[in-house]
Amino acid sequence: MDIFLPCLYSFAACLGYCLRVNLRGRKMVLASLGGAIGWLFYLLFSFTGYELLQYFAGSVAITVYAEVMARVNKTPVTGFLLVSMLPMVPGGGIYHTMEYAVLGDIDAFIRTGLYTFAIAAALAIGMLVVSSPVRLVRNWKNRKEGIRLP
Amino acid sequence: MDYNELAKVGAELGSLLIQYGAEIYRAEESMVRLFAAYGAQESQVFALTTCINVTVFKPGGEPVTRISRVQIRTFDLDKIDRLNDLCRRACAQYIPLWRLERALKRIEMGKVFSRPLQAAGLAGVAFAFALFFGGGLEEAAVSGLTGLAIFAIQELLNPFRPNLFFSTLLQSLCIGVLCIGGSYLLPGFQRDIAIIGAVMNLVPGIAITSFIRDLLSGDYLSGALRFMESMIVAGAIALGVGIVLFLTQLF
Repeated sequence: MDIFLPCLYSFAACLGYCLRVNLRGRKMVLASLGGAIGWLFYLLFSFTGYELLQYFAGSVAITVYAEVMARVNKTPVTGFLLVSMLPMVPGGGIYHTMEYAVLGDIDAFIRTGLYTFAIAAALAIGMLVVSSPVRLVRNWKNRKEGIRLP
Repeated sequence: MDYNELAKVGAELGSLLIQYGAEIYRAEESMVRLFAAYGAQESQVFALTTCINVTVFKPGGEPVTRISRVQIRTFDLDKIDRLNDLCRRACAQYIPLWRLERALKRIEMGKVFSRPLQAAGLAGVAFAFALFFGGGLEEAAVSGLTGLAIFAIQELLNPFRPNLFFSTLLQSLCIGVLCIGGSYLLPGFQRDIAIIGAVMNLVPGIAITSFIRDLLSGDYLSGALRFMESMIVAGAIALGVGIVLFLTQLF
């Protein structure tokens, strides 16, 4: 049960976010499902006891899901990534970082700030690990079509 | 082929893509593809999150340049989808430029969710995240309420074109007042969870991950711009909630 509820909440949060970023129809549900899948993978990797790895795993899962869904629905991958990544974003970390800054606890501020930064990096690297090979294939196809990209 | 017009329409397409939150590489690639499909000998494009530079070379080698500034940026995934679609269609089969321009205008005017739904979206995000971070119904309800308040502030300020720092500051002040007010009224209220759930609406989440993505994939300038932007927003959130926290400590 402690796996199901967080995933459900992240699904609901993503659904709300879709209304804000104007993602419509079937894609709305699919993208929100991505958010739940990401958090599921985060929780599945909790046996490692290493939080950054959990974020990395979630990010990889979301990006794979988003790339597949973008191909299936013939739509830019941007939408799926943007919405599905929302639950992974270290909102708590950002809040606590600034809370320590306001309280004047410089040690805790730097510690939390750097850790939040590390989470963001883990997420970004997870996305890159998947999307870079995809981009390589795409660039290769473009080259075959004679289109030179900047 | 009127290359002046082509450069204009291409730059318009690129700046709309960036305005609605597409990645830099998507905007650049779309423009290059469009120019190639419409018979430009060569094209150079350089896009930032705030500005686009385009040069199209006519078959004789004469260049046409266009610079276009991207003033406002919001996320509108439906419009990115349609722009992408339009660009694909135009590259696959020739569409006259004037019709392309009209299609761009039509996409720009395209529908968004109604205001009540948008407000419900903001409230829903805050509500769900308060539960997600381990809060109970009380925290979620207060958090959801801040979502509505944030939307009201956003709608009130919009006609005045506020800068990002100022609007975020006001919104986070409001979050602070509501959540800390809640902790006085409701016994056993977990203030931090309500605030974290509420600020998820303001947190520059995707900017924080995409600036690292930009940097790692070689778009250094865009990465740096996004980094600055996310720091400004995070700072505004800190200041807003911080002021309220600070005031409660005084009394």
